[in-house]
Amino acid sequence: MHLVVIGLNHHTAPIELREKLSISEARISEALAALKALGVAECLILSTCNRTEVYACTSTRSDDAAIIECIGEVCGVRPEVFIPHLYSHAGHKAVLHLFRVASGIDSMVIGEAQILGQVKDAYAAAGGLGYTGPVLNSVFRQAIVVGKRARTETDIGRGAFSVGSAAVQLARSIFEDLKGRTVLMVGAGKMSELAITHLVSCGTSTLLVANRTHERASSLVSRFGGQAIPFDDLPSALGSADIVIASTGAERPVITGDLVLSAMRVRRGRPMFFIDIAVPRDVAPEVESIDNVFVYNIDDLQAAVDADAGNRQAEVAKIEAMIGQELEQCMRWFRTLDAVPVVTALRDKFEEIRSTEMDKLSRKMPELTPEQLEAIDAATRSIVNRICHNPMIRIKEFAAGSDSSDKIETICDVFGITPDGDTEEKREGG
Amino acid sequence: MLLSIALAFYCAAAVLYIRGLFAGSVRAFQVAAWSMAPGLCAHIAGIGAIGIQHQRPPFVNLFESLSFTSAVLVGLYLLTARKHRIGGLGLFVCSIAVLMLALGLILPRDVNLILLRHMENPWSTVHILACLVSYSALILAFGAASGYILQEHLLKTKRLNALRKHLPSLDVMDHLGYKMVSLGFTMLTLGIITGSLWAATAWGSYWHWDSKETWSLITWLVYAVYLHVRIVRGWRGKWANRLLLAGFMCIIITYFGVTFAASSLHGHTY
Repeated sequence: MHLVVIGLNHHTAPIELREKLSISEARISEALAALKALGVAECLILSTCNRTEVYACTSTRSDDAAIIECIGEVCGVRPEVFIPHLYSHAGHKAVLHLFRVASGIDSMVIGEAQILGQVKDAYAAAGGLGYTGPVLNSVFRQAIVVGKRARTETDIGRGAFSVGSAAVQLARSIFEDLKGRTVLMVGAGKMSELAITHLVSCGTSTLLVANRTHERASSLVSRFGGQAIPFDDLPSALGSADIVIASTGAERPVITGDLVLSAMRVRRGRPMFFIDIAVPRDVAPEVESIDNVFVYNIDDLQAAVDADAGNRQAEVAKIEAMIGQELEQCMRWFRTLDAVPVVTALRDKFEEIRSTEMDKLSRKMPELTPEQLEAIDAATRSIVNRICHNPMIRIKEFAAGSDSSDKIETICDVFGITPDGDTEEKREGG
Repeated sequence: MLLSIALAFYCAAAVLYIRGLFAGSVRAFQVAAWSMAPGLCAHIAGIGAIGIQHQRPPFVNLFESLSFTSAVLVGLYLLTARKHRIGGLGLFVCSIAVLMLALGLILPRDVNLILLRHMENPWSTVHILACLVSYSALILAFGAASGYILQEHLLKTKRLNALRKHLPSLDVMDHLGYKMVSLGFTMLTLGIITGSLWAATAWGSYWHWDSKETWSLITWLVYAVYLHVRIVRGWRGKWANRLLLAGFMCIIITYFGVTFAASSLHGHTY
């Protein structure tokens, strides 16, 4: 069995090309059928916005060119356009590549969680249509395990991935639980939507929107739920807001120290978290010095994201080591596949001898009753099974070891068998 | 023996917490929390064994009181940790428990016979128990307040390092500090009242302005101020928590300072 991965990703190809070669969910089955028509035993397509990869398993050395041509045809792109951007890995390198992809260390944003889901989906899609077999099933199941291990055993998935999630994590360091918290949006800029999406998904209960133009406020309210309030009600709204996202286009700070001080009196000192996305700033500098008030602007949040990205980068080495172990395990299993034709050939050989002898016997001794023949048949089967048992176990063990070819060759020699490597054909022929 | 086992578990937990803090490993934190529970079980068993062996309350000398206080501290922490995400305070609790228990284990274990005779008074056990529980709660309140001040500082100065993520949120630490002061203050009040009732029979009058008595009164006043400003004036945050640091200094003086330094009717036992 030969496993190969051919594809391109953000490391090798520009976005325009990746877009052209991305295969939408609806067209995956069509593409898989086209690949299958090339004569591959198993195939799977992983297509995300940053990568398009074909995993194929063939009984003989695969024909990369045919697969490449097939991708080009499905996507309507001439192969010479994208061939320079392709990578192709075979055997254990293909498995290594898949493990790195599934664990998120090959992603554009290292450690992002989406890719593992995309790997699962791609596997489910191909598996559901019956395009995967023993090799891809085993390799992909293990890749999903590797992806999960990477996320649970290392900190690759921790920290903020975006400004919005950085804001949520900071909010969590102030308020334990974001459920039931009130968020006030002052101004309704595009950037503030990013933050609000994250906060709302964390269960903040009340959203107040104060914007100078009412339409924009009500459009946000209709999308996220909440309440649009007149801009002049800002002082009273501050008193009930735990988290304030400011993004007005005002020239001067709209949230002054005095406003916040009086809000803090109403709040009886409960903490406030300001996220100032506006340029120039909406929150006056003196607000930062008020006790229990925390002000973060867009640069601070970006710095938090960058710091976390640095931490995640440091986790990559741990994951590479983990992948090394998993790869070894996978390759051991992979090598036992080499034993399959030998074992089948051995079994067939013994069975052939047995059935020939049984025929001879029944011809020589026609007086045997059907019951007696059946008993002899069962006994000889049992003999064959018992003779085969140990050699078969040993053959599988030899195959799992790294220098197996000599031993297996000797076994073939001793028993006079010639495994031709394609069990399917042999079975059909017999 | 049992107490040494407890000490070993607490040490292991402390090491794991430090590892978790520096290696940024979340797993180390979880394992650390788990290793405190068997430590506490051994600890409680050890304290119980002393009580059964000698047929008296297991807190009549400094060694036993340190051991008892640290057990209550760990117990209070573990109880709170079940409800709130306060993993970051574990290192504080572990270190204090290790310190108190180790200090206790090297101290002489003699029992003051005069004290034992006085302990026949029913108020005595309540007095000592209430005082020790109040110390435990107020030490935990100090831990929460220190964590609060540290976390507040990190958030204000925008130091976005791993420490911030490991520390509990301001909300939880403020809440924990308040809860522990409520418990500690009630126990301290009870301890002072039962103490004076005991004093009335043992020494002849309710209040002697003994140095331990004076310091416990000062401690009581500091926490009374904290509760007042928090409940009535709505003080929260940095300043309220700084009061808890001051309160802790008073606890140290009341608990150890008076015992070791000043001559006191409470003597070298307490």
